[in-house]
Amino acid sequence: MYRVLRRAGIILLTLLIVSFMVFLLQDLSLGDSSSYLLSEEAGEEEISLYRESMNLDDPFPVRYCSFLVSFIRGNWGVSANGLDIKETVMRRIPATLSLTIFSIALAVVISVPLSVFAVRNRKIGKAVSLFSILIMSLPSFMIAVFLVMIFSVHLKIFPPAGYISIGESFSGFLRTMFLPSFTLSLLHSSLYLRIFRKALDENLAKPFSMAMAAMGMKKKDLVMKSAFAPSLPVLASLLAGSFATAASGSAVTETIFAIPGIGSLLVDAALTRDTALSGILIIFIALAVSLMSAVAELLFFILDPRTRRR
Amino acid sequence: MKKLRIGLLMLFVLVIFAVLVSGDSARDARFLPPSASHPLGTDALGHDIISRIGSGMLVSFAVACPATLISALGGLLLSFGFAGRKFPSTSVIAAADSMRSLPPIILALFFNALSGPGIMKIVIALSIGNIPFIARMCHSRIAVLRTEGPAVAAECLGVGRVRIFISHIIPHLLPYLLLQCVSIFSSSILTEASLSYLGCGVPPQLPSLGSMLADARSTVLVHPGPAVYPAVFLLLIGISMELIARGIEERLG
Repeated sequence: MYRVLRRAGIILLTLLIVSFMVFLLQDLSLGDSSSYLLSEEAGEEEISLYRESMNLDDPFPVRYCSFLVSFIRGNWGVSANGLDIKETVMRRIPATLSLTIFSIALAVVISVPLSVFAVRNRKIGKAVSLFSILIMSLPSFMIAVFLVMIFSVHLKIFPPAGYISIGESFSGFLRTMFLPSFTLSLLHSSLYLRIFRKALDENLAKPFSMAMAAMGMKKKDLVMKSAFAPSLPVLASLLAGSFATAASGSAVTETIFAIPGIGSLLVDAALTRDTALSGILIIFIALAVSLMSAVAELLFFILDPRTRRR
Repeated sequence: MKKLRIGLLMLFVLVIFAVLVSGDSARDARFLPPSASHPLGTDALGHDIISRIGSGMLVSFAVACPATLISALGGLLLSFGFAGRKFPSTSVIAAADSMRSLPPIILALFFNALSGPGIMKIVIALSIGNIPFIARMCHSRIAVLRTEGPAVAAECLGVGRVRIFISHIIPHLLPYLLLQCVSIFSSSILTEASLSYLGCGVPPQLPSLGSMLADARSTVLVHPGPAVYPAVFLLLIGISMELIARGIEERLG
């Protein structure tokens, strides 16, 4: 129970800190919007009228509170090119959400068996270490470019860019989603491979594994039967931490693969200097990341039999 | 041991190389093949590739060094707080946990939207993004160190807080902090490259490995050189940092 409450508190705190930072910085950098929204001939009276209508004369805390309340109520304002921010963001959620979930699932599928093999066999272990060092030292956009070179330019299996929504055609959706998800999943799995493998090794050295080894269990079975389950909580916290990586990775991957998601929207907002849109977006992203990691962590917490019994 | 040495040597050679070849050269014809005056040829705008790579690497280091230093300093200051008894550790850690959901790239993109690209902004974004992780690590280490023999004994003898911190906490914290700093340094370099690739990194007039790759994107199939060489150097920096990190990790056991 304490864990759930703490998590909820952290989500709330995320909202408060990030929205405060966004509002403060927007306030500092924009200054007074009356100076550029009204024409130059605007008289004193017009300016003061405008300021009153926008509540610009209120003290900072009051304006911050009204900003926060309107954010929570879903009144997110209008972006620089006149579109409703909430509608734009909502339209772009499905692509990013499916990219995030696909990539994390793919990373688990890649890295869990590989870590098990790596622990069982020293040669495979060395190869896996080399692979994760290589991926760790490459920025995600270079991985994306390499994958496009291999799969789209030479083998011509997957399209190099573009997005087909799941409603239009399911196979098209899978084909366009594969390369971006694979890029992101390599990013996740380099970390998973390192940490999950270490956890497996540590659990193999624990007394319960040694007892099983002493009773004559082969090392091959030992990994799966004795060390695997106790290592799962480590995987859980890795998964919970992945959503932040996914957020920053999706900004890059979505832009490269021309996927209309939240990340590419933020990059567009940054390039066009859309202050209002980018502010709302980073509050949204921070909130989504902390919510998703909370859900992932609590899910594994519930699944862990050791905590269930207490 | 071997990994650490090879990594440090690689990094040293790369830095020396960057300093030696960096510089502004006059523009030449486009896409010249490698020659004596242009060891790696020229790019789409006629810039000498090798000198641009050198300058780009220096820009990367100019972003990563202050970001790492600020993060480390922030971590040390917070550690001093964690080591004390009256410090509100729980609330600081809660704040750090909530800040962890805002990765540096996302923050840097927001800063870019506010007032355009700039080195200082990337450094600030990286520091804000990394301090929560350092804080978390320091907190969990210090929670152990503070209750262990030497620190408790010194406290009972009436030794001051500052001295306990310097002589009993820092020496045991430093290796872990160093390891974290290495990974912050390399992730800073990767973040800067990614941001510059997206066009939101260092100002466009400065050379950067990321923006070189972005510029070469359209001609990569015909002239692979301008894209491949910066990529190779980015990879070399990354590998040297990974080797250093693994080396320190092995030494820590």
